[in-house]
Amino acid sequence: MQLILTGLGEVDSVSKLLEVRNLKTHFETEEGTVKAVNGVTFDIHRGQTLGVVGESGCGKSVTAQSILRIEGARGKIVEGDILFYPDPKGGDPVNIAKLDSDGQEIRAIRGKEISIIFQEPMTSFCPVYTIGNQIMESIILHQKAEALQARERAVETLRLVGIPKPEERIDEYPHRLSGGLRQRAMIAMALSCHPQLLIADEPTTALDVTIQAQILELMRELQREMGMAIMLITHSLGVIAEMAQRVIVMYLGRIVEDAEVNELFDNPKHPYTRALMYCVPRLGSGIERLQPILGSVPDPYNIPTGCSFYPRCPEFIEGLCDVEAPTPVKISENHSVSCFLYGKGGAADGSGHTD
Amino acid sequence: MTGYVLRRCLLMIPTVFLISIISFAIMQLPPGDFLTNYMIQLEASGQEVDQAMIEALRMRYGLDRPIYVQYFVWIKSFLRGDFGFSFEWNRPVNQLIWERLALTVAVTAATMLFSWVVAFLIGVYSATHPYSVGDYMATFVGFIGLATPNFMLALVLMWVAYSYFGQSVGGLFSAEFIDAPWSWAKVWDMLKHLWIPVIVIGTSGTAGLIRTLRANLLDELNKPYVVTAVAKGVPKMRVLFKYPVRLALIPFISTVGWSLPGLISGETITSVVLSLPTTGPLLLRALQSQDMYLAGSFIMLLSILTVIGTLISDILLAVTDPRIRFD
Ligand SMILES: Nc1ncnc2c1ncn2[C@@H]1O[C@H](COP(=O)(O)OP(=O)(O)OP(=O)(O)O)[C@@H](O)[C@H]1O
Ligand code: SF4
Ligand SMILES: [Mg+2]
Repeated sequence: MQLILTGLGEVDSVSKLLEVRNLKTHFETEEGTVKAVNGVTFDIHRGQTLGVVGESGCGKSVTAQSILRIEGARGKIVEGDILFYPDPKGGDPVNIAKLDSDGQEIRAIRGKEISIIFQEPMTSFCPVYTIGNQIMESIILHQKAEALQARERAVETLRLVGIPKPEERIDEYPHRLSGGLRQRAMIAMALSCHPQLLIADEPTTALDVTIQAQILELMRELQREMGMAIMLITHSLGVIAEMAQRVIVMYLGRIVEDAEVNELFDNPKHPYTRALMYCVPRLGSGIERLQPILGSVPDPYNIPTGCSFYPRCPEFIEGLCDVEAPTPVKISENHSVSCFLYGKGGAADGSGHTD
Repeated sequence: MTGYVLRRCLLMIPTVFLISIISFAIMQLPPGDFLTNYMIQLEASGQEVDQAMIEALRMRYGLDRPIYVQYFVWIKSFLRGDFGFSFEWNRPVNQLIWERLALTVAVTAATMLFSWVVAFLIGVYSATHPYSVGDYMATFVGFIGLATPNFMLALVLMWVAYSYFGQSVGGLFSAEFIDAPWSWAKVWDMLKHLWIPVIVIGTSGTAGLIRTLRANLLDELNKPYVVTAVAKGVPKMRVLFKYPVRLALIPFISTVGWSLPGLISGETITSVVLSLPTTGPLLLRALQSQDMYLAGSFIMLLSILTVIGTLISDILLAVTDPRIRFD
């Protein structure tokens, strides 16, 4: 495990857990089609933390939802693949993008192989059932456990996430717990069946500063113990620096830069990434939302032609950036960027591979 | 939970006490005491007034004593099941009241069951298929149901039942059963008649319930906990009924208690049109003819039923929504 965590260069295909290829998830609305995710490609490796960063509305959550096929009735994966490798010893992947979103196959993956925690611990639990009831539901469903056994395991998991007196807390209703404890309980629910991938969609945004640090520390600890991979979505580059080994930077439904974490901070290439860097809201400064760059994110129904960042880009090249869309350019082994400043890239379909 | 139920039960005592005072006050509203009125009536119709009987009644109801004593005499005998005397019917009130009350409860219960089942099915369908053809149809039918006056619906259904099914309409029983003692045949006969009043009384309420349930459920379906449950791998239908439906029912349940008096007053008009032997028409007539023991007893009993209905809905609510129990 340690080898995988540190030496990204040596990662081979056996340790690959999830492979997202040219994923496009669109929403049909009355106002038109929202291309929320518009051709993203990235990998997640076993035991690794992938950070996903970008301004509000750039498609981070929709990417995560697509992986679990909870993109909703109006959402549709129009193109691309999500290959999930359940077996660490090799074997055929499951293409999640092609599954029926209500079907048995995806349900067997949800909560068991891939779990998700959300920003709002308050509303993510249903208020009329005890947290124990909701945690045990997963265990009974996926591990075919009896109620009593499931209860024991739920207590164990609650203890694991640092909830004091878990045998009593298990019978509490969500509104009786503090925000921090509730998010811990949420993590317990997500990890109760030992998933291989934990998706955390802004898990600390709604919490107090001191609690934020505790929750992040807890996630790191649990990762060391259980070895799951984490896809961590955040607005905060500070959080990324602390938690992730690899980072993807998203803008308007695309990945503009993809790099190993130190490489990204030492050597940011994309003008958008650089802009984000200049206003890193430090963990605890209270400014969690990124509002760094001149101008605002364009209307999602009218994404600009060419490079979608060009109306806001300080280095935009006239006649090129507003006409053609840049494709990923590999700068080094662990770093690729989609910007004409670094050449024209290879793949014409915009689905350049980054590995 | 037990503590909550106990508290709610204790709260009923002052409520019922207040109701008894109001009922008693209503009985005192007509000028003069009712014995005097009764004597005047008898004399006007040229009948002999039996002074001994009048005296006995006067003693029994304490009519020559102060008003609060009269109240206690009345409430004491009420609690023992002696509801007084109906001068219009010339019979003790409790001989008149029980069967009608039972039939009222039967019609009301059947109506609520009907509204709930229909509203539940249509409401859940509409909310899970919003803006579909079925949803629009349910909305349309619902508004028609809401907008049609009950008596009109009653007349239309009576006409349909009579001309297409050849059923004798009006009333809850066929002619041969009206005065017959209770038997399975009589119950069956009643069930055959029950559907018209149930539909008539239930329709407007059902339409309202459908709208409420649909709106609640649409709200709940967008809550993050639904996504959480789906993301755990719980099948869609199980998620729907375990989580959002249960929450959507909360405001629904809290209206059950209040809907009881509404049903009874809605029932009155319909019952007059359909000539149902329930309490509504009898109460109306008792009030018109100032038959005050009868009227007072009805008001008292119906109010107590409403209080019990509210209690039941509060308990159901506490069972459904644990947050209430802690307040
Ligand atoms: N159910 C939906 N129906 C229609 N549009 C949607 C839906 N969900 C997301 N979108 C749109 O897709 C785009 C991407 O949304 P997404 O939630 O992925 O952004 P995000 O990067 O997670 O932002 P934030 O940081 O605010 O969470 C937005 O323009 C959003 O309006
Ligand atoms: S492609 Fe052009 S507009 Fe887009 S980020 Fe690079 S320089 Fe800026
Ligand atoms: Mg989001």
